[in-house]
Amino acid sequence: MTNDRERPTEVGREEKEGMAAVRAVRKAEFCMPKPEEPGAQLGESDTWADKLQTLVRQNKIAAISAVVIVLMILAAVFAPLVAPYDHLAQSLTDRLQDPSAAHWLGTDELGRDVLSRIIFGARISLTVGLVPTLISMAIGTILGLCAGFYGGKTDFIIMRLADVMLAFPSLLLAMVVMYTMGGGLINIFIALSLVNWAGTARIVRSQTLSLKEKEFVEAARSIGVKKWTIMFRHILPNCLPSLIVLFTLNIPSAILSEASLSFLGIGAQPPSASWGLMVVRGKKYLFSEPWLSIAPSVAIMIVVLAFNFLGDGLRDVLDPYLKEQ
Amino acid sequence: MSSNSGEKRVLLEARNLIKEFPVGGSRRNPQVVHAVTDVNLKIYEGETLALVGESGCGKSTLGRVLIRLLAATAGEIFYQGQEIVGMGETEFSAIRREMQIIFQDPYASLNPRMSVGQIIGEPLLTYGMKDKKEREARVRELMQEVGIAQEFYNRYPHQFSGGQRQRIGIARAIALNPRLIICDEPVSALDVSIQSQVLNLLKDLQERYRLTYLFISHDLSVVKFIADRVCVMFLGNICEIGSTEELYERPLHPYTRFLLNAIPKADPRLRNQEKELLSGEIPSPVNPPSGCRFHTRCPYAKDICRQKVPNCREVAGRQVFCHFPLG
Amino acid sequence: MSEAMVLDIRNLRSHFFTAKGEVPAVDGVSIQVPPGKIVGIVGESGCGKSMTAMSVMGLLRYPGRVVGGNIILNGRDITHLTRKELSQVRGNEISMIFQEPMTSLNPVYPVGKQVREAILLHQKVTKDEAKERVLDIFRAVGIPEPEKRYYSYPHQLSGGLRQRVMIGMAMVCRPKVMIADEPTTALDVTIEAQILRLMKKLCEEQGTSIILITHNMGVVAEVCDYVYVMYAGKVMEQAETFALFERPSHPYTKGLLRSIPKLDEKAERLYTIEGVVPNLLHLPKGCSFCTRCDQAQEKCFAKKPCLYEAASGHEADSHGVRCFQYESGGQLDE
Repeated sequence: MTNDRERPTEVGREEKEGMAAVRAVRKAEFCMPKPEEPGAQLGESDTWADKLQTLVRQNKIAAISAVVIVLMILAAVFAPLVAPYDHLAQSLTDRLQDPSAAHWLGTDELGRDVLSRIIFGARISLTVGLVPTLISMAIGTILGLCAGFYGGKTDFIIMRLADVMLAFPSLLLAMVVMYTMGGGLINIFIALSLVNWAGTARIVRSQTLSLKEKEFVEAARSIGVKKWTIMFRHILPNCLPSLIVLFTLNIPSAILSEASLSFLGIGAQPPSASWGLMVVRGKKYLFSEPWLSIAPSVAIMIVVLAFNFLGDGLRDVLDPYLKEQ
Repeated sequence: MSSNSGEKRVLLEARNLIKEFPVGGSRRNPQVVHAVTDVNLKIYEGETLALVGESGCGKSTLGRVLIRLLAATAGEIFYQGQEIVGMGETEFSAIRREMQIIFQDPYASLNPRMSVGQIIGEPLLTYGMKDKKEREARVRELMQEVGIAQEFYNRYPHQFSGGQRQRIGIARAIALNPRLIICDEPVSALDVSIQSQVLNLLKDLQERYRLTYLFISHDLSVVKFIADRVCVMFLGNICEIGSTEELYERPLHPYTRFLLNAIPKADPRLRNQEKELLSGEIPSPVNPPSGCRFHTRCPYAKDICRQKVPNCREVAGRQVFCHFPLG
Repeated sequence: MSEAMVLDIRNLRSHFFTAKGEVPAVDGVSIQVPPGKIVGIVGESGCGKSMTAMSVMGLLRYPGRVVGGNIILNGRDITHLTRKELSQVRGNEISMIFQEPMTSLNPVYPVGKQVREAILLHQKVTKDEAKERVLDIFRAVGIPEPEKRYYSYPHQLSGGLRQRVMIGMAMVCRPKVMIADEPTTALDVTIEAQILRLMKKLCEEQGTSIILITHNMGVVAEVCDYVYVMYAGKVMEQAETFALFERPSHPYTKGLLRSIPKLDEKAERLYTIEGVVPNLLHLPKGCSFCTRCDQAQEKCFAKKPCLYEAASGHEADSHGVRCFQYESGGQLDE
């Protein structure tokens, strides 16, 4: 009778019985939340995929930054294939050439192709950005969790230690470490890891403090879940959004620190193609061949900006709480 | 219920229970919130005892202290005759699984990063059900029990409505076959039509598993539906304990009467009845009034109420803490 | 009849434009508020009762927007006023109080000063006169020791007192209409009773009309003159309070009333409305309640019902029900 019913479930529709069946089916259709449409009601939180979608749609700069970072990582990984020349091959006849079709960014004082060196330099910068940040954040997360969760003396000791770390200019601290242990990439990792954990620890601690008052943590306690399990199963995963944001924001500062240390001569050692090292080597020729310093500086700038934009974008979608701070 | 309570077995008993929270002040003159003061309470096996009172009366705190989610400041708690306040953690863990809690806020009480299966399975995992298949089977059984379709096993809490989340919380609480469940305002965050579904579910489960409930609520109509006995609290003290029928019919403590009067009734014909309302606000639990704590709001207060804390009186088989119980 | 109404909301529609689609939060709501009466809007969370209020106040923000209908306040259409014109109307002719008074009061100023600001904003009086007015208002809304409370900060007041301050602030300019969005939900029962009594008193003495938004049928029965029951963005039933409670007609209203535990009877089980409130993005094609209704007919799944007249002989006022069972009574809306 009604022409526009979509699907006939009313096979044996004999007045009331049939209606009950139809009703049951309709009810089942509407009363259960459906998998493909999370959120039975309005204004509920979205899944990660939804959040990334929002990010791409709302924040074009962050999306572009993400693309830049991905390209940069690809270039670093496949550097030997991408780079037009070997980054260490010297050619004294071609030294200090202006940018040309053969050498897009010219050559340095030893005749090495600057573009190739920048592409290979991305390897160092990205490793230095990622590895020490990961280590320092792991340290900071564990200490922050402990401080926030246990409170009392543990909290006091860890947080005062963090205060001390934060009271020193971190570059100065890294320099002290580098001077005592000598230059080199591994030592940069160690120095930066030791220096940067305090910020993470602070943020994780404050989140832990608020999370441990939540009812689901109380529920876990009422079941008798062990403290460490509560920390790692209930509290840590809920800190994850902030940690991801923090991660993307910490990477550029590590890259900058490496560049600064290398610039000061206590970081990466020649002949490795570190951007910081390239800037300082090009300093001599700043007025005659400015591209030697400008090119690596621009590379640093692009990476740092890209990570910062991405971090800001992620923060907006993942972690409104951090934004308020 | 109270008439034959002598034969009933006491499941949990609190004696002179005190809970105070430090709230700063100076070191020499520390200030504390007197959340629960000198409470004596018995919970009988298989009954539903309701704890009612206004916000800040200490009912939630009392519920948590009773199952050791909060440490008591002083006093004793006996679970089946065993004292549990001073018990060691390992010894207590066997008892802990028999006492569970359902929370008020269905949004905050489930970990947003765990799936339904993980949430309901957590108590099982904690108490040694390591086998994944076995655990999943039991979780599905529990989901069925509380009315959550099994295909939602891998869903996350945000995909559910408030009522469904509360069901998940209930499934988690009954997973270990507890004997006592503290229901801390389990329906006050839910819509009316969902509220009745959850209340019915709680009642069904109680019948099926012979559960004992301590039902904490501020809603006297809900309490009337679910409770066998009611304990009215005001500012950390118990005012009155009695069977639901009698207490609603003939309140002995003035506070109980005002509480009952104040409820808006869903019948407009009753609106023009001249009813007495309480004036004033709830006093601060940091500096509670001397004597009977209700005396500042009580229209019947005499001098003795301001000076002396009322003792427990037995009136018609009910306990009331008032110098001048209503007749 | 609409001539006499202080506030006449006609076929109001407010939609939310979300990433997942257009959500009809308020879907053709018509509400009439007579002078000096209390009109209740009841419904469960997400039924659009608060959104209706926000739309009337012009407080809807992105991604929500009023997409249709008219709001007529004192005979003047305020639907399309500019922001500036609207702020003149707000506070002066219509005001609003919220569920949690703490968030509506600025924590860094004494409450008295905040109320005084509201007076100075709308009236040409000196600061001292304004302060006198504030103290008068505080007395009127039953705040003890008004001189002392004038200098109190919001956190120093209890929830009940804060709500009194909010009501006082809303009453500053003696508005014709006050919208109260769940004003007592955050309060204890004994305090709730005081606040309800206060609102009723203000309504009677000052002739202010009140729109009371609540989920509590008890509160409605206690103070309202007319009731609108909302579900999924629509008015399901509207009637004079006594008529509604005596003769609830829509299956949803009946279900709601039956599912509340009663104080005066001991039931073994409570009546329940099965299922959950449907997602507004995926409403059933027919009546939005059909999936939960135990009297649903085939028609209900296929076609949306209008509001039909269901007044029986002895009811003086109109009693509208959005259910096909009352189709014979004649249509009330479009």
